[in-house]
Amino acid sequence: MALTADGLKRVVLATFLGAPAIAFMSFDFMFPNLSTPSLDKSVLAVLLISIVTGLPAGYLTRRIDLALLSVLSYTAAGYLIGLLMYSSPYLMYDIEILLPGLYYTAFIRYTVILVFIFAFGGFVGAVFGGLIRESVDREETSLTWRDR
Amino acid sequence: MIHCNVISSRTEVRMRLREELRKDWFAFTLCAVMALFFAVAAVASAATYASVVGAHRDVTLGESTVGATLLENDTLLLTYSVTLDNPTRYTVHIYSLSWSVYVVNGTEGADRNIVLGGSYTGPGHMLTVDGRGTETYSLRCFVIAQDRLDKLNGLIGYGLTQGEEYTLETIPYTHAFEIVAWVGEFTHDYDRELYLNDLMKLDLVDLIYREVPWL
Repeated sequence: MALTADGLKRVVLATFLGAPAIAFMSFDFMFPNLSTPSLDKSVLAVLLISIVTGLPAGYLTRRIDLALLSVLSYTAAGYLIGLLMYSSPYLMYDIEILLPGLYYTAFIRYTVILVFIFAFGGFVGAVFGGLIRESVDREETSLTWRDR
Repeated sequence: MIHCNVISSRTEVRMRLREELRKDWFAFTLCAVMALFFAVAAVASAATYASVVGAHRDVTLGESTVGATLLENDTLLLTYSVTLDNPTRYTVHIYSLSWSVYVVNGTEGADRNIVLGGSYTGPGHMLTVDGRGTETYSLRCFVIAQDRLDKLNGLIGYGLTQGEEYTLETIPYTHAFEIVAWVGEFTHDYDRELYLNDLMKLDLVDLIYREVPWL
């Protein structure tokens, strides 16, 4: 199906709503002793939050293809923001990374498996979000019918 | 009219996003609050990380002063003093503080160094340096043992044959000082992910290495 301007807006909105959680969880998984509040490397907590994060994508878009696109979009954006957070000392202070390749490889090595959990949880959440949306629509319809 | 409403609901006529947001304000507010919560947590965490990494650069040992004095009872007093400057907001918890003083008297072998003394303070002493504070550590040791003084006097005698006029107070003593400390109250008891411990660990070393010129 075509990506309309309205659909694109929904994807962008879902990206804004989902990316902070992904960024935080990526960073928290790397430095659980620094972040607040910490999930303490609990993969189950990451999965559950990923599902909750995916809810708006399904709730907003209604179309499953847009919902999945939203999940991929906010996962990618959030992970990149997480990488940016990982670089924050070297962006804020005049400190040089000694081995940039090794430094960034460490982040990816420790957190790349999370990307799959984010995406999987997001897809599940998007489906749930769509179900909630349908349920709300159905309830509105029934209320409208009863009122009339 | 009834018919129109049912049809519009069942066929899911798309509302524009703005109208939908207005209609479902509660659900979207919940989503926005969740996003804001994680955004704030992310920014706070990144700022903490930046300041902890900054602490590795900012917490420093100042210029050290050393001394050697021969007392009236022929005891040699060796002193070392250094200041730890902590300009960060975190308390520095000192895990260990060690100092040793010796004379380099060879290039290899068991007698390479004439060890004269030192000091060690372990984690049980709970030494701390408050945030935005400084602490001066003054350490000293007395060299009383005759065998060590004999070695030093032997070195002075050998120095004379090499054209160096040393006394017990001017021998080039080497001082090795090291502080291992933890930044703030962050967790640092990881067994598997050692980089998390390293992130919190400060290793401050001051080595005044001097050796006799004929080596």
